[in-house]
Amino acid sequence: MTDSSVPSSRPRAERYRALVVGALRWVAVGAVLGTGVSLALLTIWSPKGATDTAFALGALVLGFGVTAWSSAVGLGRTIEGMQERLNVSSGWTEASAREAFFVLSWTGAGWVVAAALTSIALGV
Amino acid sequence: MSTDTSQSSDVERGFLERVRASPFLEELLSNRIAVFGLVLIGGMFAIAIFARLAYDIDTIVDTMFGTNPTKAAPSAEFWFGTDGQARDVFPRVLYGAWYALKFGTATVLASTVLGIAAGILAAYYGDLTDNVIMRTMDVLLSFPSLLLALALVTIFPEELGLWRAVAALTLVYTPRFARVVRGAALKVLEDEYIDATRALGATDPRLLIRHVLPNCLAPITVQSTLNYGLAIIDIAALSFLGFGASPGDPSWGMMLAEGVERGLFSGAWWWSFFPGLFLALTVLGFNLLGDGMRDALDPRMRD
Amino acid sequence: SKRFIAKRLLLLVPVLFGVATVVFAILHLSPGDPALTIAGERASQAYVEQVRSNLGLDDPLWEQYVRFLRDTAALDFGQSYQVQRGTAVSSILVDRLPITIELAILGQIAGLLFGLPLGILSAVKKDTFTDHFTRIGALAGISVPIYWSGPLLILLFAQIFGILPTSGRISSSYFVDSTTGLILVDTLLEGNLAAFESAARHLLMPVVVLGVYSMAFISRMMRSSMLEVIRMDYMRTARAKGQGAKITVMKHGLRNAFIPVITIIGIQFGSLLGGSVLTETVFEINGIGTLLVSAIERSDYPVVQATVLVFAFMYTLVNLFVDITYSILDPRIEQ
Repeated sequence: MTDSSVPSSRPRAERYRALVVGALRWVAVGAVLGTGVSLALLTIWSPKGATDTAFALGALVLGFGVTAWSSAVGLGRTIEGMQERLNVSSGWTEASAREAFFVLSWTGAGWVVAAALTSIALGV
Repeated sequence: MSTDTSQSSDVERGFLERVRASPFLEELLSNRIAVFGLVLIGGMFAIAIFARLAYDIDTIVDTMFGTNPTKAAPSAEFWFGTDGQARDVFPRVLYGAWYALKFGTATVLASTVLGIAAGILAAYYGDLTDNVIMRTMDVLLSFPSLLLALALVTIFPEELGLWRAVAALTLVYTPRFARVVRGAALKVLEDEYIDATRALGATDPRLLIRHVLPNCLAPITVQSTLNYGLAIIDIAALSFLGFGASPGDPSWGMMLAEGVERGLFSGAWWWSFFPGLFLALTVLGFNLLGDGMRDALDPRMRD
Repeated sequence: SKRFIAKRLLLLVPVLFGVATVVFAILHLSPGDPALTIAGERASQAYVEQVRSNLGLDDPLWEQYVRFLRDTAALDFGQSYQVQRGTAVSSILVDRLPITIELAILGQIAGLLFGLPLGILSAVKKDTFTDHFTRIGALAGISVPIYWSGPLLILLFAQIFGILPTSGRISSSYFVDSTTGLILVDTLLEGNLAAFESAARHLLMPVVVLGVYSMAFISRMMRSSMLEVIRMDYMRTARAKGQGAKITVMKHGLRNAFIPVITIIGIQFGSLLGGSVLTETVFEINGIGTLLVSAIERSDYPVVQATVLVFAFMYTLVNLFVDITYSILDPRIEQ
């Protein structure tokens, strides 16, 4: 994977490069989604209604991703330790959570920016 | 008719034998606490169906000024007393069972369906899709259900009434089912016979649903039972806080809200006491049964 | 260690940014219209539009979002639209927050005080009458909704026996200056014992209701955690060695059993906040729980946003404390 799940033993520069490439990729995906949703909603709502709703949906993804990512970073070891202790595994690992929310955060970021740009382009 | 009866008793014997052969049910039925829960739930279902058939919803919602006394204490005529709108509380409380089970069933069914979809998608695509879906579910799971429901309920328009609560709670409970289904689906995918079936030309989604569902029936049932109780209590809580039933609805949460706000402090305790009692008994029934089922399914939890 | 705590405090920034963004998004996805609520149902269309533009709600959403982030970063939560119209949200929170904190802390203490011993007892006496009784009790505690057990207690102790007050935080005959906002502390600071007694009597029922819920949860967790520890090998060997060794090991086992429970208590603090929303409604206590509900009902965006942020902030802080305790108790985890 090209993002935060990269093992830390690799050289720093390479790790950062992988993170940036990953981020850019998901921002692009988010931008496509943001523009797509805005245009799709345009068929049923006014330009302002459509871009506002698209923006809010993107903000939901962005906010959720960022909150969950930072909670995973903060609570990661505690939860892993607790699972080990209780002898249960839900499949939750800090690395997998970081990866998932890295994706969501950057997708949301791209989405939000694309929706804002669409609304400017439409002259809302 | 007589031939029918003999046939059905034959079927019944077969069924009973199968029941006896199943270690899960044997375990469950030997658990007196779980059986007690089952009896409570059975009673509530009977009451719900009786109320639905015996009472007319319009007369139950209508105010009864002029015919009944207002806030009358329980008596031979009004077993559970009357409320501030002079309505007889007794039929309203019974009808509340119908409301609770109807909306509870809708919530559990909807979140089961969504959970199956999410779980199968996660297991089938694996990798990043799996990771994003399941980690998202984990986060939703770690939220206190009432606060999450409170946040989600605002997204749906007020006109939906109790369905608004159902919609919000469906999203709240979906992750629990998704987790169970994903586990079962992964097990099925690992099995070799899937490859064999695939070679015969079965399409993927149909294949998965046909093979996964039978495998996770037991854990889904346990989840449903536990979430049934939660759904009923959370729907009532949302109604109590003003995000669900509309005033006058014979839902236990609404009756409690009205009874506590306008009855309790003026001494009309019966207005909120009986709906709450029925609500608590129903939820207790589901929790007792669910707990017993979990023990029967996973003996490790017990000893 | 200091670095660990600093890192965790730093993480508060993205957590709060994320939560603020989610709340903003949900409020603007919801069909409620603050302008209409403020103007009133019968207001003219022109007036509603006027209100909307005064609040800046007719700007493109991304502009509103940028403005919201900038203000929030400067700790400016704006003014209440509706709940206490025109009052600064921060001053409403300063008034209301301590009330909920006091209730939640007391409820949590009550839950721990009864839940932990019950859970241990239930595990040690597994499958006996005591165990069954405790487990059914705990299940009943979870099954009985706060908005029913609360009214029941009011009925019993306030109306039938008449020994406890029905609602509020203190009798209206006392006037207490709000120094800390925690009424038990404030009355003591003033040295007014009669007022303290009145406040304690008012808080008793809400705390019990909230505590029972938390107790039921904690005792169940403690039981399963304790059973897990008892099952471990060293416990078995110790038991074989006789009574003296059993007690030493019990102490050791207890410590081990506490660790997961403590973590879960932190995570469960959220449910406690949820429970306090209901408790405050039943006992007519004006904390941030009731504030949140009425703000949601009336589309009071600034109040909802600020209240949820405060909830998230408290939740994260509690979990930070839990984590620190955890790392002290469990030396294997190196932070």
